[in-house]
Amino acid sequence: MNQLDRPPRATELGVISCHECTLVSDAQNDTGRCPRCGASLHQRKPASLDRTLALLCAALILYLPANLFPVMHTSQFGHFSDSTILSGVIAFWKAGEWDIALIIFIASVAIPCAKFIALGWLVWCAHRHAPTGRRERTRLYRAVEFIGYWSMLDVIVVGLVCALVHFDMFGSIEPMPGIAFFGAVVILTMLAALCFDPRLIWDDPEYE
Amino acid sequence: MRIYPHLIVCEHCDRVFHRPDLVHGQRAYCTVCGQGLPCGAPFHCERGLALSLASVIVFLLAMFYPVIRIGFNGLHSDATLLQSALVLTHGICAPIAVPVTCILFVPLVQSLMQCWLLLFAMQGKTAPGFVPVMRSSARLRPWSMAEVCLLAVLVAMIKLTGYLDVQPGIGLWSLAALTLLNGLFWAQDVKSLWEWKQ
Repeated sequence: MNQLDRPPRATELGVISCHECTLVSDAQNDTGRCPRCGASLHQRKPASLDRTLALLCAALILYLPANLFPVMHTSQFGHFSDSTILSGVIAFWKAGEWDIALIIFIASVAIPCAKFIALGWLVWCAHRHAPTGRRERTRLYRAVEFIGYWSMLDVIVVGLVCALVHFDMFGSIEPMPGIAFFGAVVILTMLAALCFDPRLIWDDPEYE
Repeated sequence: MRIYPHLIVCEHCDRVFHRPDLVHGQRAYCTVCGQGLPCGAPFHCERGLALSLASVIVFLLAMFYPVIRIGFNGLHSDATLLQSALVLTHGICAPIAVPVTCILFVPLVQSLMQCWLLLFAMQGKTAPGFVPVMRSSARLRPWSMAEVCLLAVLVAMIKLTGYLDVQPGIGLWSLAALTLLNGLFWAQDVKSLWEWKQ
């Protein structure tokens, strides 16, 4: 589609849309607030790229202990064992239960890693005002937003298993610090995705 | 200051469109970035209220009845979703138990907020505290994880089947119903409720 055929941008028309209630009003506004719902108006989310990057870095740092520390401590008839996220996946795979291994692998390893790469790339491209693949990058952002919370799966699974299995001497399972780090990673990456403003993908200083 | 209720701005690429008149089941997409525009068919208050009330009931069942029951050599044990969040409070994992417990209750808080708004909207009134309630309900949306909990319960069941006798509980069925009801509710254009604000 030609540049001229495209509908105008809100910034060009001097209007602004409220991010809470979607009402469109004049951008030149004394109060800086939406006339309908009173939310503060801004053209772009404030310090979007910095915040996204900061949260992403924090998540990346916590992702190391999340994988290195055990997530569960199992005791069975006097035998003790610790399992990390990856060792759990491998144990299921070796036991022949490839389907369950795949679900845990996707939720706990593939999705967080994909989110790190995807969000990092989106921030980098938005920072450079990369002109190509804007539509695809917008779609990627939507995908990151959509898949993000599925990683919470592992935290709830560990909680459930630990709440269920407590047979004193016969066997019990306890949560270990790895899962706390992992939960923090999921929450931080979700916040990072929320801080990113997809309109920055489309901003082009040369065009304006 | 002028307002333009007939316009809509794409949240993803900042393009301005005329707000389309949609009927139930239709969706409008941005022609530039291809993402959905933040508008939809008029919201059915009765339908929304029915779904929200049902969600509240089903949520309470899902939270306070066991989701899984296990048996092992004559010993039995069961766990509710709430217990599985609270078990994380023991020992070194305690910091994560707080957000996890909060996240578990998000669907309930959201359903109660929607009931509040819709009870007044049904009578043609604006509910007291309309703005903060609408805003919080929308902000909580990404943190509502009923469907994640559902998959987590199923994964936990499969995980334990190898070693123990595992049975689904009332909580699991309720959780499945909650997922369905939430999906139906959010398929409507909830933001169009803002038009109730005078």
